[in-house]
Amino acid sequence: MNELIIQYGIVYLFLTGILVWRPWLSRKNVVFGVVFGDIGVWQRSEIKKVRKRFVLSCLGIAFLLAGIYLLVFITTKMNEGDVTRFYFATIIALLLMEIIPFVIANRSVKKLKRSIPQKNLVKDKITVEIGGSNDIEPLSVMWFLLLLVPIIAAIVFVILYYPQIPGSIATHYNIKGIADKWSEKSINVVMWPIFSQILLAGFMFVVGILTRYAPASVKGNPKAAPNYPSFRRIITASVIAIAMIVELKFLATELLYAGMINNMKLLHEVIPILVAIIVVILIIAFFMWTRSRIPSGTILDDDSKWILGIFYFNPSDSSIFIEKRHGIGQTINFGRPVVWIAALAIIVIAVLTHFMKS
Amino acid sequence: MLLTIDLESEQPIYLQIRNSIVEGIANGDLKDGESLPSVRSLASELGINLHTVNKAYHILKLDGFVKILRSKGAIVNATGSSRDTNNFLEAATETLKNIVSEAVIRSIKRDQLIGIVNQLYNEIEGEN
Repeated sequence: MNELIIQYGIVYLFLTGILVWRPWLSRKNVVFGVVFGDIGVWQRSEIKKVRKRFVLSCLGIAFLLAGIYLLVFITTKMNEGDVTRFYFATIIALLLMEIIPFVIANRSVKKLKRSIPQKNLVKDKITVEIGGSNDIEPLSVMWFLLLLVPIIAAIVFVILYYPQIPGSIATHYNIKGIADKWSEKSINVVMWPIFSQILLAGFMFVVGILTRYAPASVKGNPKAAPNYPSFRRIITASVIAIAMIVELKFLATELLYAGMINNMKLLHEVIPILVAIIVVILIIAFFMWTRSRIPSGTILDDDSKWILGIFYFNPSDSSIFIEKRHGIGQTINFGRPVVWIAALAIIVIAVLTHFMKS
Repeated sequence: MLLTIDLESEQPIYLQIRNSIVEGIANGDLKDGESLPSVRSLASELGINLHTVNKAYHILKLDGFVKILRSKGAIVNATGSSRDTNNFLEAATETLKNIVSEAVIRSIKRDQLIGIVNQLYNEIEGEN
């Protein structure tokens, strides 16, 4: 039990660290979702003050929630399940409450922006480079063909080794990697991992294709967000890499069915390492191609399109995905009806599959 | 070349794109055979609707300034517009008639207007 609490504590600290780190996870001329014409704003004393207040209030919220959790943990006798449930409730509360300091900081910076003299900011003009270099082109669709490799391997494997698969198949494993559910051998059972693999690859393909063209969150001229196409290609590549990792897990399931491997233990140890490597690459790439780049030229003042500095809402923009205003990765354009329809569809599918299972 | 659009301008965005590309071809910033960004790519860079870029490319194609190839997308076609010279001259005469009429009303001298045309020719052709 104590070991569990320590593990939870480490994850909690890590999460708090990221939440406190938020102001540093954006372009230098974007402060809490508010865009400026030059990076000098980062060093201004009034902005520093806002940042300091943000960090302190983030830490305050995190300590408060952790305090409540520990108090309840010490004073009541919870079993392991309750400890976990209460922990996740605390995490959700943390994530939701940490939005508040960000929104407050966003409002203060917006107010400050009016009093800070602005250079390079324009409201209505936007310049792009056309012809010549193809630097803005995203990662080629061809890379997505990689997703087919594990699928084809799994199908070929099942066709070749179906007779060797034993009559009773372990279809579910608990967290410790021990089989706790068996099914009788059938085409359906054996094909299930491949079916999941195809669904996943299809989903990741759609996401990858749509995010390929996600523009920078700072626009205005080709040098407003220098080198962002390079970072965008890294993001697309990591979407493919994550999909490949999950596909490999399904492929390993087929190997397990046929008795080629005894358990998934090794894979379960390797997957977090691979994911961690991808995350580290993304963070390094973010700092190399986004954070450390100095913008120049005119920059489009589009704060009004970023609600609370977090949500992008622009009905006249065809883009479904756009680079996050702060943080690593991409977000959606809430101004597009298709986004709401897709979100609704995903919720409906999630609810339906939940009911079908139970 | 650099394409600048004005989001607040009264001139529709598709026309701004069209006119900039024509100017780019005229002054040599866009070379024959050079590829233009894909419709989706240009729309997302500018943060505008796909249809706006599509419309601009479509008009450019009709006027013969670009070719749309299935494999390469939109390609600059600097020589393709020559076949439409007569149509162009007709349309240009119509536009110039409006300009000259207004110039006459405003008592602007013939030489002054011709001077502007010469200057524009020098500016655009000079960069070739």
